[in-house]
Amino acid sequence: MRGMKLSVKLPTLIVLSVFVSALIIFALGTYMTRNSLRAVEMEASRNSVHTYAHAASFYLAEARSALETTAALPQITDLASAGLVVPALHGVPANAAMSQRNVAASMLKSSRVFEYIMLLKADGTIYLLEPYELQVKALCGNLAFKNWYQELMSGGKTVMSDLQISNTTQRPTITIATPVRSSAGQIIGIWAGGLKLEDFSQIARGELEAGAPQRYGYITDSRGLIIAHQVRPKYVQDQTDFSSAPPVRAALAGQDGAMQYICPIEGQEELGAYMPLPAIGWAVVYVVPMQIAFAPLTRLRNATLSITVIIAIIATIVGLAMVRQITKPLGQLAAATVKMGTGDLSQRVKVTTGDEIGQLGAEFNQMAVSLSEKEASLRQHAVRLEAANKELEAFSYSVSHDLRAPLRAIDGFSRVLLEDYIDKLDDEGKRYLNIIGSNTRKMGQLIDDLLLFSRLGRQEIRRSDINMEKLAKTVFEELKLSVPERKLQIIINTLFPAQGDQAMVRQVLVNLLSNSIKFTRPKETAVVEVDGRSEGDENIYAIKDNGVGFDMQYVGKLFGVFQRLHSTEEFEGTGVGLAIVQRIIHRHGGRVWAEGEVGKGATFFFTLPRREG
Amino acid sequence: MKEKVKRSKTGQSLSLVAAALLVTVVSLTACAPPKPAQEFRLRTGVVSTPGILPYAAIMDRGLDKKYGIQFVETSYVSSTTMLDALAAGSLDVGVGVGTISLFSAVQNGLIPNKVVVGAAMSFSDPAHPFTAVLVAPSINSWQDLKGKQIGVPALYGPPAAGIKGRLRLEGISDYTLVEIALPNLGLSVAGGNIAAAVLAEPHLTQSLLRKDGKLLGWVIGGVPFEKLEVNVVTFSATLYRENPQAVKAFLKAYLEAVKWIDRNPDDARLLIGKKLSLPTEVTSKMAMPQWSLDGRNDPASLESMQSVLLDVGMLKAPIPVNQLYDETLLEEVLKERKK
Repeated sequence: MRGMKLSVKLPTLIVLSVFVSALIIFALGTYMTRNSLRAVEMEASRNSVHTYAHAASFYLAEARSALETTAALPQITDLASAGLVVPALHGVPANAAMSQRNVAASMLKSSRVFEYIMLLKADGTIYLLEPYELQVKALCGNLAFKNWYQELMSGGKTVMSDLQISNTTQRPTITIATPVRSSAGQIIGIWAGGLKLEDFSQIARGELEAGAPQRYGYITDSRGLIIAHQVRPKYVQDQTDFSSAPPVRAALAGQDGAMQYICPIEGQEELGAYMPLPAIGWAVVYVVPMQIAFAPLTRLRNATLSITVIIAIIATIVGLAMVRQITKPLGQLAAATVKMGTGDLSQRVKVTTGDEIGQLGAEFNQMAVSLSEKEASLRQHAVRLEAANKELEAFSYSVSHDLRAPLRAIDGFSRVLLEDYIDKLDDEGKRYLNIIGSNTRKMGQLIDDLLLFSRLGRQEIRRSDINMEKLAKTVFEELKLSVPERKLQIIINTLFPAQGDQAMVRQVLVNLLSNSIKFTRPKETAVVEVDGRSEGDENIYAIKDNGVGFDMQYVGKLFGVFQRLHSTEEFEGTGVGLAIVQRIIHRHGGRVWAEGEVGKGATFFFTLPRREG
Repeated sequence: MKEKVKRSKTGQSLSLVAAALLVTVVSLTACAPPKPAQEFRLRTGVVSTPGILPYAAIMDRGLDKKYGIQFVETSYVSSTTMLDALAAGSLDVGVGVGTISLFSAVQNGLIPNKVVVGAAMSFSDPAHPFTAVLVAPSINSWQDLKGKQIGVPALYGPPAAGIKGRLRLEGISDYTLVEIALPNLGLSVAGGNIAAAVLAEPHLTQSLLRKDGKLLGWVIGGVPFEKLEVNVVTFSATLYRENPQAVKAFLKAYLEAVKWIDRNPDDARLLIGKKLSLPTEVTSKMAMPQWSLDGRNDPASLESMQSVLLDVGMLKAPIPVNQLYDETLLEEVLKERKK
């Protein structure tokens, strides 16, 4: 974010904040809605499971009641007195026991809950089974091995079996059996029916509901095997084992409640309410798949997401427009500032609003006006200064130039006197004339230096690449020729090439190296070291000697015209050399300075712009 | 001028958005799996047994889309009814057809005129037993089955052949086979309707877990069918001869599905459990057959099966087993796969 432009940063922040806010609202909304929906669905499922269990109980009670009522009919109870015919394996013939068969047939027709009805002798032998076509299919003629038979005989009451495979249809069924008693109360037979489980699966289904219901119930026997399923009757045909389903387990353990779980059979997350079927021990479960339960949440989520996206798009567009309103004047301000930095003080920005940005623009314009005024005033001063400087330079040039003529006359005539009138002059006169000649030459040198100094101020700089190492060597070798008696040692280290006016830079080296040679005169061996390094966009050069050095308190005077730290008797010179050095270096845009210590030598530094490339 | 600049900037932004959308669309298109050159609509018949696992895997792994197949599925209660549907032309592919019904199909003139066996699916051996005899608590040996009623899902299916062969070897001939729907066999034993039942997986494991009865012995993956080719992939002869590309597309998908099953046995169990609505316990404990990774039939296994069928009288005359199947297209697919 740090290096990002405001025009990117602001819209990003706006979009991010919209999205984050929307996400937080979305997450909170989802969480709260989910909890509410779960609570509502669980409560609804609990009501449904009770309704479903009630309907199942009613269905079973009706079947049971029908059996118990008909079992007491004389046609059935007269069995003992009539004496049952011992049937063959496949029961009595269709036309035998007509009265009992009629009762069974009419019961099958009226109740519609049974697939078949049978009358058993007390020992479990099938006496008759209606419809007759099923009777002939029975695998065995005696059902005394059946659990429900044994339970009935021991309890003497109506019993209801768990899910079992019918001996006659070979399909899953529930057998309800009731004792047939004699007038003395003795069990003389068993009146039993096999429930139509296909119909049992359809109980409590909405009459108007077409297709498979989204919410559904199922019933398992005490082992967890499906005996009724509102949606998938195939589970009944396959006796699918739901004992591992958590709500079935809970209901079979006698619990009544609701839970959220993953159904191991369906492999889906469900909300299920459960309860045991009273007195039978079966499990009744009412299920809402989570996908259905949370369908409103899914719709809400989709709608929220769509709205969030739309809001984000609108926020982005609005944000971009706003950002443009902010960044456009800022951009103009920045561009104007850049131009002003390059010296164009005429820059002004357009102020269209009265807000903070408008205020900033107005302040900028005000600042630009002030700067323009200041700049104009400075320009006038500079013009005046330049004129004065030019006048001064012209004056000094004229003075120096005009001084040379009388000086040449003095020097000339003093030479004539010495040459032509030597015999007429005594020693004292000769000495005076020599002093005149010497001082005239000094003055000539002084004027030459001043003229050079003056010229340097006006001379055009002709920049070229300079091999500093080679130049320093050449200058030193030339200077060395003028003092053949001196022991001079020079160390020239690697010097970076510079860019500047070759003649002027040469003058700098001449002045500095000749100073080093001059001020090392007291030393038996003069050591001069020329060094250089590169820093930033400039090269720094240093000329160090082991000469007399100087006191750092006078360092400020070193580069002034006619400033000398030693007497002319001690060390000759005009006092203009270092001033020339400073003028040349400054004109090249460089810096010059010195370090030294009395008796320990001096080091002069100067910088030049680095050669490009 | 300013207006122009403004317009060009807006145009630039729109161009950028359009370019981004284009890049996204192109990338998404490039990432999408390549569409098969041709699409095949196959009317497929299945029987709810573990034999449908490769078929379920084809759909679960998206291999149908990969090979351009669109399935129209119909469930059948037995292999015999499925073979009839194939012969009648109302079905293109029959998945998981039991091998024993193939012999009668040859006898009835269905194979190879109307139905073609294109590939083997699974095998059973002692390491991969598949069908066993579940008995009531009172039955402790094969001899105890004398005079008893034994439930089988079909009187002419592999379980019936298995129990007949086994009892013949045990010297028992006094028994009755009762045809009861496969899901009802376990509870029929539990309820005492029958003394024993011959059950294939997953019903066998389900019944054992439910304690419907006890396991007496394996008859497929045990004597008499110690090594048995359990089921095959069949095609209608019309499809096989007139649209070999569709058959090859199915075989390719099928072989890839079997490879996945072989490499991911646990995931395959979960898949078959989901497909057959089985409790997790049953899914994890049921025995699984050995899948044929190259789809090739096993003539030796079919030959030994035939001899048992002849012994128990389920087959009237021997049939050259190589008449049972046609591996021409399978070989082509295998060759293409090698390339």
